[in-house]
Amino acid sequence: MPRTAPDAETASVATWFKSVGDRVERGEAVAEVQTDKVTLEIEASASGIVVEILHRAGVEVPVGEEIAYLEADE
Amino acid sequence: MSGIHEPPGAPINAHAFSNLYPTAAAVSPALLRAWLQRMLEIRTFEERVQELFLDGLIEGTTHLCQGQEAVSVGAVAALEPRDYLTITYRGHGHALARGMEPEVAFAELMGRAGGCCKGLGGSMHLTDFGRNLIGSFAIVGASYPVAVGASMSAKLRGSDSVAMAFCGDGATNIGTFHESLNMAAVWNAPVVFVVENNLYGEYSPLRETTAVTDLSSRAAGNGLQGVTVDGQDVEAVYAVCERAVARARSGGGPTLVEAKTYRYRGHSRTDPAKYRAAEEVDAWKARDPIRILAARLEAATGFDEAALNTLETETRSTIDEASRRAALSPVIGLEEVRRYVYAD
Repeated sequence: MPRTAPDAETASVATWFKSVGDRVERGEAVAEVQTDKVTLEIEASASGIVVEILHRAGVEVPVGEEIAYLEADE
Repeated sequence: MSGIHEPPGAPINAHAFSNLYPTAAAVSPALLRAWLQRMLEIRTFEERVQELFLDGLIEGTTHLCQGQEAVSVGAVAALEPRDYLTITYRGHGHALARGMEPEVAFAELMGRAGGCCKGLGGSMHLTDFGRNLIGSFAIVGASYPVAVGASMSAKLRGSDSVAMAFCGDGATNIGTFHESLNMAAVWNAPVVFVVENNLYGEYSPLRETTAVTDLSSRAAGNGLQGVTVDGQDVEAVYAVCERAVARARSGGGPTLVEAKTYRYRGHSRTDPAKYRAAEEVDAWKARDPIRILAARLEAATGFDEAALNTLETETRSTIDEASRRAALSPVIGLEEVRRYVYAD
């Protein structure tokens, strides 16, 4: 979970754009993250297949924690 | 000229501008290739910025210029090292176009000592006096008066240096914009004003905030020359700016250059830009400045898809290495921070 503001301790996924088994390309938006201040899209840093989603939409997650696993190409 | 002012409309016809301001000198294929490389560097640098933000290595916010690379590269190419430059908070492209090393720019964005402002400025403050890049401003409209001052200092010293200032379309509704144009015209200041019209002031479409469509027309009310150019065509931007710089240098006075362009991403890091139709974004991406330049280079020299791919791969590896090295630079200590806050 990215830190969206200097004082943000937690954030939640507002919408998952991808499900387990979906293919994502590097740079593609995978989820929309929401805090009390902002909503932003987060993009995949590698291309591959989504193998696990750890937090459903709406759940508060501490900043820095994993939210999903991607099996990268190669 | 029709179509360009309507964001959802058809792609710009580059030829519409050729009569307005004919291309000056032919540019050598070697220079075109250098520009292509620099534009790829800017595009890739900003892709990496996006990733570093998500990785927590860049804090605060960032304003990306992806889609606008031809304006940065074409305009700055018209300057000599002795000329002055003032830029905006959407300034990664301007700074890299001016020759700032990607590692130094990354370090600044990450708040590291290796940055151009020792990491104290961040994304919005890529100032580098060594390159006469004398100000990178977070305040909308602040870049213009500083450039007028720099240009007048050169004039009063008897130097033939000129100044160039960038701003966005939104800034043309700010007081300092008009005050700067007026003073520059009255004093015949050797300055080139560049407006990057990307059609949105933050989240507002230009047509909802501004009654004129050609922002270069705002020159007329202040008594200077204004010209509009296709900002997706680096050669066209260069041709116009090269003439404006030559004019300023020879005592001909200031010029207002409007470059019509588009930002692919939102206003800032936290803006997904959902206020724009997908068709509009696609229409502009179809006129991607890097693709336009690559196609022209292919026609001139046979620079093909494979050559472009090789250049992209090389650029990505350079950028990866630069960001890796920048992350190794330390954060400066509190004692040193205080040195730049208080005078002795």
